[in-house]
Amino acid sequence: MKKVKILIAFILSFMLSQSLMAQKEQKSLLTGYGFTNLEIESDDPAQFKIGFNPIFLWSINNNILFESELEFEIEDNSTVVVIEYAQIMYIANAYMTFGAGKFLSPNNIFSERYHPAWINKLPNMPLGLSAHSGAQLLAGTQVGLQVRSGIPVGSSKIVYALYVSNGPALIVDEDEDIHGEGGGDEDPHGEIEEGGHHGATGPLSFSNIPDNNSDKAIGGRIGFILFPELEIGYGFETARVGTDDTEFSDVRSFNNVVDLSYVQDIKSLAGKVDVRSQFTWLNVDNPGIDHLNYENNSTAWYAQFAYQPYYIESSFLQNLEFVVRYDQIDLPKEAELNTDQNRITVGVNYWLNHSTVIKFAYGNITSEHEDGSESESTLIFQIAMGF
Amino acid sequence: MKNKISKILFVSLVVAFILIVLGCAADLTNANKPGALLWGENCGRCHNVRPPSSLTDSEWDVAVLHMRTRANLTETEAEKIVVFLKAAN
Ligand code: HEC
Repeated sequence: MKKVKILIAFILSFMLSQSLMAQKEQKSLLTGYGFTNLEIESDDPAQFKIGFNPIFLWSINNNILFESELEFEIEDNSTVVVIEYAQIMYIANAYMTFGAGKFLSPNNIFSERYHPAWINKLPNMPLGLSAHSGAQLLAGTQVGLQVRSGIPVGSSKIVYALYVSNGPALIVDEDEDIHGEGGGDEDPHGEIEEGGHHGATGPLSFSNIPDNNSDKAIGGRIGFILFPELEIGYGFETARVGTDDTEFSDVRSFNNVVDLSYVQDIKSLAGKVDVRSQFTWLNVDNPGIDHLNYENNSTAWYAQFAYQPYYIESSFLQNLEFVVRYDQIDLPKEAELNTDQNRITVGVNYWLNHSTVIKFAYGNITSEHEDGSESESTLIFQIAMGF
Repeated sequence: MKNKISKILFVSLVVAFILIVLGCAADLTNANKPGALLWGENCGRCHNVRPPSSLTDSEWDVAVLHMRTRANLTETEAEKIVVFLKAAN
């Protein structure tokens, strides 16, 4: 409650300062998004859930920007606040923009571009991107430094980002969560959650702070915008993930990501087509010790196709969007957290305006256990608003 | 493992090469495009286009700077887009 009051006071003073600063060189913008979900799963009671993510932006001049996002959630009856990102950015020249702080992981376009509830076309996140939906293979955020920019090449463009960060940590002890943040239940909100996995060893924790070793992770992405509608990219991250002064200290991880995004208005189809896909594979060294003595290689990927019949005369149909996504995660058999899963999700969205949307999605997930496979269905309704 | 990485690097290099060749052949480079066109091409790639009327001039300055860093826009692209948005809001 106290936190909420502090937030309200903070937002009011921010708005006041915003209006006072309107004529000055320093400029600011209060933005962000919020959502409410109703989730109905076959075996669990139906749940309403909410999220509120205010974003605060300040620019001192045309080259310096501070971007920050807070994430408010209600968990177990109390409000939890997380700094999703907080970064100072400095545009040094046409080819280099530097950033320092906590930022959305640039090697992973889902997290950097598509996770906000008003942007994500389905009300939940693809497998492998959040500790809440089982194993997480890719960081959602980094704490460190980055350099990035876009370089035009004729009518095309190459974009790049490179970072050094605290990086991920290998979880080696059962019930021990390296960073003291637990992975919770299934959390299909479309936000980034970083956490460890209580009781499971072998996967990585992406919580970033504090770092468990003195080595810093290095990662980045190179993207090719072949023409304005199509971008393909390759991202990576290499890191030492073992904790210093333990028998696992030399263990390293290597992450590869390839992605594709294609958005085009197609008049003959009377609408807009939006294709997004990302494939990740993660290799963690085999330390050859005890319960971690196995080839620790995992993959996760998703492909999503959406269509909105923009150019149809009817204003109702124009605002409808149809989405289908397939996602899958494959984990090492020997790992404790080893449930391979694949899922198909279909959704229908109704856009109330450019950034306010009502989503209905039905998902069917199949989990492979040693003694066979089981499938489960979920129905999610979401109303999301970007402001 | 190593093999996979070198394959990807190789493919990236080939793509970069094709890009450069294609890029040089095209006549309308980004630098020559008007703001409205750049806005249409760049601002609907990740999310629905936010209409110019949704923010004030000063807010657009901040939002476009934010997007310049997030979407790796060039200086010319960002400048032309912001001029367009301020004229159209
Ligand atoms: C690379 C993907 C991408 C592109 C391209 C892009 N945006 Fe965004 N935009 C985002 C994301 C992601 C957010 C949400 C910010 C967040 O949640 O961190 C956003 C948010 C916004 C917002 C809300 C205010 C803010 O700054 O957060 C506005 C306004 C906006 N974009 C306008 C634009 C305009 C204008 C362009 C074209 C110059 C553009 N966007 C291009 C990804 C993109």
